[in-house]
Amino acid sequence: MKLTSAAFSYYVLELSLQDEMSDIEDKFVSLCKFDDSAKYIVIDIIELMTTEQISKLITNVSLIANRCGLEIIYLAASPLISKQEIAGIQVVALPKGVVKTPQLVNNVSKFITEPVRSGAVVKNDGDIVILGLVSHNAEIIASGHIHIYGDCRGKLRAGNNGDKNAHIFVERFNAELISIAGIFKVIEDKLPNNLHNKAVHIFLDDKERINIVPR
Amino acid sequence: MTIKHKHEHNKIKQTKIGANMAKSAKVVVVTSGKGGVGKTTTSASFATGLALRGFKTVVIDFDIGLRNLDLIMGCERRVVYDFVNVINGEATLYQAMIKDKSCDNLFLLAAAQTKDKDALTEEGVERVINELKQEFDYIVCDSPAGIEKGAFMALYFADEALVVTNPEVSSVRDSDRILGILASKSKRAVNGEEKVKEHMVVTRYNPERVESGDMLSIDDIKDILRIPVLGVVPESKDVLQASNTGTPAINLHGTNVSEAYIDIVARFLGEDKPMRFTTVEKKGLLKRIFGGN
Repeated sequence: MKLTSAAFSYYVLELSLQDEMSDIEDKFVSLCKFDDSAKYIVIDIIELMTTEQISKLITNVSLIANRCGLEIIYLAASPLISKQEIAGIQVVALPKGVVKTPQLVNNVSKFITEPVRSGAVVKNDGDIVILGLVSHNAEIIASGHIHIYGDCRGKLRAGNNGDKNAHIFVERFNAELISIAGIFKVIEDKLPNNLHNKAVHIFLDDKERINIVPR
Repeated sequence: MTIKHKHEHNKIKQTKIGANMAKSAKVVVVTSGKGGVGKTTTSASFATGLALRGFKTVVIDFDIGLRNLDLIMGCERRVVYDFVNVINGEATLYQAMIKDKSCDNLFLLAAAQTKDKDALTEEGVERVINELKQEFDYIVCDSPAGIEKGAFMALYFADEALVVTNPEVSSVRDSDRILGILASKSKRAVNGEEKVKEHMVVTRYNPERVESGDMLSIDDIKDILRIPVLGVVPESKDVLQASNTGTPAINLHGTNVSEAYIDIVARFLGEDKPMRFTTVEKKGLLKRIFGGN
């Protein structure tokens, strides 16, 4: 599931069968926080499903949308949909080039200048930039990238919503745990000298292994 | 007639001074997270030190149910009413405050031994502290260990904090946690005011053991906590003797613990004092021959 802003007038919600209603509600709530004037939603079905399944999905999503003050206006036309109208929602072809503008909802980055103390959790749906210390047992959780300009001794989770392209940059690296898109590595033993308390860049390679390289 | 007049005149003068002082009243919490690191010892000596400098000081024991401060201050038997009695309105502040036997400017508000931490309510504690602010220059809050209600109430109203740390990893880690709570949950943080001023006091420091690598050094601790060091109190058997005899360690004149606390109070008041007791003392020739410490 992905919610993107398509134009000034509406947002496109991509749906598949695995999407949880609670996640959709979260997306809608954060959309309303991000954009006060948001009102119209266009549903784009990206997985092959029966008309009954689509109908049920639309009914459920409509309920959530109404609760958030949003309205489902159209269903995006695609080869996966054979009908002209499903559950009272009209199927229309979205204008080309406007669909799926890659602008994530609520991806404001967070900027922190105070030390992040032991036991503290910094969470953001977006990037996190920290100027200063991240103590032992502190947790930094971002759905985007993490940048730390200072000592880092805590736990870092980037791409927490599953973004495998999230990167972590640390100026002085001594973290206890690093994770990108849920793939994690516990750093139990002392790091080699070229990484310990050095500037590093952490990312996932094409085989989804965590890479820590000096910078 | 004349006597009465004089008396009234004095009364007016006193209230005036009181009103002026109310503006600068400071709440200082002595906290650490971990237990047994020297919070109560530090509270007693720090409060005594401020009082000896001429500041009207009150020290409050927040460790409801495990009261120790009155023992260390040597006034256990004089506790009739306590902090919880005042919060519950069962006694007035003046009935509960105990004047120190050696120092006129120092008062103690003891904890209740028969209650638990739930007796501390935010409104009650705030009322007592506001009332004390009218009279005193410094209100020292001796926090219990942990991060539960007692510790939270002790730090909530703080303007400044003394974070007591021992040179070992678990103590430093717990202090780090407490600093996080001070920065996020204290009244100043919640109201978005200027943040609580943080000071570090390292106690039970043994330079010999630091040199041999058994203990964290001041620099190691500073690297983890990143706050200024107010003072270093050396490990000493005098501290145990002081608490057993009910004397604040600062009053054991001539010992290095007493000197260390005098320095801490001076630095807290903005004086510039060089750090002492952080390096191994070289023994002189005579001492090496005749022994002794």
